[in-house]
Amino acid sequence: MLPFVEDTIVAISTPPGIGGLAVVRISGPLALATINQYFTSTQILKPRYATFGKLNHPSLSEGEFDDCVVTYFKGPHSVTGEDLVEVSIHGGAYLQQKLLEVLLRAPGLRSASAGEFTFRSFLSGRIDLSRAEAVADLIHAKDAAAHKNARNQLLGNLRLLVESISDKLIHSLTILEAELDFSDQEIDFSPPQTLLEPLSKIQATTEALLDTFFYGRRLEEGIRVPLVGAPNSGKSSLFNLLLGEDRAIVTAQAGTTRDTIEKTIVIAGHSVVLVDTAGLRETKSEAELSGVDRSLGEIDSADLVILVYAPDTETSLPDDLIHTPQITVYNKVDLVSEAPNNMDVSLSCTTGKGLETLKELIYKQVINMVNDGVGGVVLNSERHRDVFIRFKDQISISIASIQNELGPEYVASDLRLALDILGEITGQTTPDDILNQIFSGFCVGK
Amino acid sequence: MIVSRESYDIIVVGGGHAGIEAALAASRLGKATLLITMKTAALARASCNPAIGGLAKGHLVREIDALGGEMAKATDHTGIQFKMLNRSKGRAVWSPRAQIDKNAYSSYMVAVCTNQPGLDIFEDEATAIVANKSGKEITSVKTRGGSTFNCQALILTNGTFLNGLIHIGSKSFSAGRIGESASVGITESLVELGFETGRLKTGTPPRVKRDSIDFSKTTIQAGDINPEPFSFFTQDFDPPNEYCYITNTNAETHRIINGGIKFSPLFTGVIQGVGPRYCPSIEDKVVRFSDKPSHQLFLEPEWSNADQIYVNGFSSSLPEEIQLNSLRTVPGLENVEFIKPGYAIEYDFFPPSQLKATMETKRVKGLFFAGQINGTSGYEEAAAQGLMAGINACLGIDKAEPFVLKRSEAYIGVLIDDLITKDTDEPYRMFTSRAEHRLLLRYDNAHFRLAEKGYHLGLTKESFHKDVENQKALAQKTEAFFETTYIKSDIINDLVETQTTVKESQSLSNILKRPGVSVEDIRTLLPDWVKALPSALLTLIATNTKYSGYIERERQQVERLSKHQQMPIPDSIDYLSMQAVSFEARQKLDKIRPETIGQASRISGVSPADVSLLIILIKKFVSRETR
Repeated sequence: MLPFVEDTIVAISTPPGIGGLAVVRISGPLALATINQYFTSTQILKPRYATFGKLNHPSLSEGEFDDCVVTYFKGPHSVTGEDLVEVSIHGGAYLQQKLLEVLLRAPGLRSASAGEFTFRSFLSGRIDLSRAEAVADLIHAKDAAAHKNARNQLLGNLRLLVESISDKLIHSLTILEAELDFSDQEIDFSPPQTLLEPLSKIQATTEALLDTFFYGRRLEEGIRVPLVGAPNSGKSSLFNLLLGEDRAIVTAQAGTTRDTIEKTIVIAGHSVVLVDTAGLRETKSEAELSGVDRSLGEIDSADLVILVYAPDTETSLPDDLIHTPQITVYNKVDLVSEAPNNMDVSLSCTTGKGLETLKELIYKQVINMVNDGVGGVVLNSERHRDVFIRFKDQISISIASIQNELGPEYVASDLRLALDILGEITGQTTPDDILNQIFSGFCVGK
Repeated sequence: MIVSRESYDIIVVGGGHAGIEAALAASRLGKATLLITMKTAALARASCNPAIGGLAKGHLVREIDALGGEMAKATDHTGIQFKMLNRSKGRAVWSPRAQIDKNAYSSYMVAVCTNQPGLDIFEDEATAIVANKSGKEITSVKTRGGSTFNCQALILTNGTFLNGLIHIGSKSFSAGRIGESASVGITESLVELGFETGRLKTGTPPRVKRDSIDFSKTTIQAGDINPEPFSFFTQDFDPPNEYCYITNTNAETHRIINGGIKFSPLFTGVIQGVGPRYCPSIEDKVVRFSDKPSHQLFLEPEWSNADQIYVNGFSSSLPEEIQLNSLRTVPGLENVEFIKPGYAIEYDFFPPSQLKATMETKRVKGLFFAGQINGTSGYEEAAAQGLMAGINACLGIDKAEPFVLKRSEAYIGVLIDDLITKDTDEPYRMFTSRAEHRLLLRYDNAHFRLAEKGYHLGLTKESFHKDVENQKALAQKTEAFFETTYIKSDIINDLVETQTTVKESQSLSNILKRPGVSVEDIRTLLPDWVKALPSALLTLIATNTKYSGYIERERQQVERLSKHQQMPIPDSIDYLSMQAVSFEARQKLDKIRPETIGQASRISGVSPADVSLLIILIKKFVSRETR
């Protein structure tokens, strides 16, 4: 028979763009042989050693490739479970592209599809599904908090949580199964009603976990903070001031900002996406009108709104804004003798007065949004959320079955399905797990 | 014994519950069959408790019956008390159980076997099995008496006889059952062919004299007043209803047992084999559940008007004196006298992961194992395997498609699939919780599930098949009628007493789905043609309706699962080279060599990730092979 030969795949594994270093990864049976064709060094490549040398290839003009470091991991002791080579080169886009081209011309190599390295790790059994997903998140983590969450998942917190929920569920199921399989014996069976309490607890835990999803998404995408206000209230100036760079165009003309501009800054370890929006007013200009529409859209999806007021501007704001946390800013305070006292902060972009107070207020709001999660787990994947929603529904069905006095065989069927759903995250519960529980908990046998 | 030839199509070794079903199925399917047993009179001996059926086991018996086996008929003919268990719960988990007259049961089976055309019985002890030169195909079997019989298929059903070793206290001696000699030689010739073997333990309680018991101190346990027969073929069912009696152990009993623990071979380490947790010895129960002040004992007659009583719940391998002294502290048993003490028995078994789903060994073509030799316990589990081995031995000879039942089709399917994919570390017993599709596999619909298959195999008559088909059609028609017939709310509220009243008219099926409502409660709402249905059929239909939401959900699950479940794994696949699969899973898969992805997924140590991977690798493998 033919052996199982995986294709050898190659990809640039550092993000696109210019960086100090770029890493190109090759995984598969041809990884070592291929790199050895292009890599010259005083030393030979050894597993788990980084080796310094030069890359070269006949098709390249002299000196096109310079120094590099190659690290070789021999399968199965690599993250993909296969032979794996990591080539670190200087980070120019041209060099990266060139190396990739050369490697793709090598026989038997092909470009890796998205996530294929992680997929191979999963296939090699080096990580389970929830960890595989966490790796992807870790790679995409933009800030400390997202990093921590992804790391927690990678460390198996999600797995631990799921296991603890399924342990509780198995315990409940055991009570029912014991009654169904050993009713001819003198065991003191608890009626299904006794399961209502543990099941309600499981339901509450699941709800709490689902509540973390909002925060989980924020970790992924950043906390959205639009600056909203009337035209010419100085939103763009404030935007630039908060960023510490001249990102948005600022003129004295009202309605300069037509499109929304966004930029991410990190506050309290969290990514915060500041959004400069078009001023809200009635207008006939088609371009400005569509800018206003976008501003309204931003308000809709905002986590925190910074409302910018200024002297001599009138702002009419949408009512539904009230539900979103907000900070009111009185801008251009340097132009008036006395600022109104109903604002959270008075600020001048010219003098910088009030800027620190505003930053502090934003910081506090961000901290407010932090959710410590359930058992160290913050849901951020749609798939996990979907599983837990279905799980919660199934637990509700089980509870209803008990309340409707449907009998243990119905409730057991409901709970088994709930366990199956939970199993989509980490693994299946088998009938043996349940029987083992029965045998250790009850004296059965005539 | 009439032995007409030296060469048979199929030879069955062992005349217990597995051997009988195997031999009957083989001969009924037209194969020249020989049954080798040490003692014809001991055919179908119930060596432990005098009962057939029980939770989940009753389901197996009904399935055997629908497929044309003998066990249910024998039980109906020789039962002395019938009882439906779990009656307080839903129909899906009801299960019939019967006390049987052991002697009558055995005689019934002797008569059936000796009158079965095409079946010869030979009294001797099989001592060696012989394969061809390559060791890959069965050729013949040798006996202690010096005979050799050639065969195309050999079914081994040796029960607890292979190197059987009985323990009573510190005494131990070789035996197959008490008073019957062990069988030596078979294990050795199987090991020579490369089979892996292990050791298991089981036990049985003392048999005591009826007239030494004071029944006035016990509680009477009677059977059902209107008992249901096990068999679909039984007519005019009017069995006896003899009593069993319940009594209880107490602190003094436990004190004496604790004092004797040091002599128990279970605790001294003399017994190496692993015993079943669901059927522990009394000393096990006293030690492991020391907080329980009392354990129930059931006094069961071994035959009709028996002078011999089986003390269910008091299985023991303690010295006879301690068994007797502790038992004499139990109400009603103060002056009890033993006929036989309880004992433990150790025996060889062959881990059933060495079998295919047909019960044929993977190693040797034509060699089948069934019953306790596979590490199972229970008459019903044994009979089910015997029947399946017998059927598949015939199909193998005819080079026909094997007969394998799915987990979603029958408890028999669950049983065999569990056996071949799981590591048995204790004797395997059937439980309803082992069946993930429990609500589909009811005792009352076994014929709906299996009659057609039994008929196509040739084990049941066309009339039965036709009758079942008619019932199915009637059921469908009636269920549709229930769905579409609406009853006004005031009529329902008058008729059905439940906590909540209904405000709008409801379909008959919705009324039936309400908790506590049975088809009897709504009888007055039914038209004559429904009322005229046989009561068993009407109950079955009502049960289908009651569970319909759940049944539909389980069906969907079966369909969803079956996408990959039935995906075959190529024979030549090299698991060890699958670097990607976890090391443990690779080893397990290589050892068990599952036939389908479904089987692979149920092997312990094979994770869902391993299975997903396996599916991908197989797809790759298959596409490469065909390229």
